Amino acid sequence: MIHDIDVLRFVCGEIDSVQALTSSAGRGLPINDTAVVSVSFAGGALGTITMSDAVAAPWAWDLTSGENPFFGRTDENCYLLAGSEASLAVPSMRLWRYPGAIGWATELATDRVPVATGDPYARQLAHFLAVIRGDERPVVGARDATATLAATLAVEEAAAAGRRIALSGHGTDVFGIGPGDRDQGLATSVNSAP
Amino acid sequence: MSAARLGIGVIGAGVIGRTHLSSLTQDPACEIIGLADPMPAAAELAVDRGLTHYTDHGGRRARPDQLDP
Repeated sequence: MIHDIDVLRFVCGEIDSVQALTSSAGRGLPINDTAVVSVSFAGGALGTITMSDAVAAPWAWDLTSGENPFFGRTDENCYLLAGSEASLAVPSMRLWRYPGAIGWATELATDRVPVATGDPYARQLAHFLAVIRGDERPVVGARDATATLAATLAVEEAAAAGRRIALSGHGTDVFGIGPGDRDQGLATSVNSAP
Repeated sequence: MSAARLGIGVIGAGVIGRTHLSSLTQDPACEIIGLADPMPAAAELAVDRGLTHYTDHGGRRARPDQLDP
């Protein structure tokens, strides 16, 4: 789930607060295998995350993106981003918007947004090596990663406490590291494996 | 290891760790100096790839000559 929270922060901006229900009933292990999360973003958007490691389901990043041949690929989506002027399904990159006047009576037009392909593991490694050599600055820094970790830990805290958990300073409560630079965004729905 | 190659230790030999191993193997700029994972399958993988196997990430200290400070 932490990767999906990372994606949410990248697309929709910083997370303000979370509420959550979690369960370990699927596997019966000490660690949770299933969660539903409500997310509030600083930009005003709301999001939901539906996550389980104990279901037979096609709606996870690894099963839909085709990035790693280990995983059997499905033709489904794992992220649904709903905006006031258009909506996008990922990773099909199917975009939905009104061709003219916005309204229920107008038929939505759909199109696919072109996206570059590549082996993310090879690109990640090339960047990692360049950072080690001092040739490049990290695309994702410790501050950014820590903010994602703080939001992820807040999900467990929210479920345990049974209430909404605010992320004061977007991660400043973890290791004293503050917010990174992220765009503000949209409402979203995420289906995720952990 | 030549001066130009970077020594990389891989921690975790699950699905993604093995994916990273494949990427690293194909990159002439690096040399894999060890694989750390407590699972028996990791030991087999290390033997298969000719890698030094460590049962935990702290094992990296066993070869300090090959790691940057």
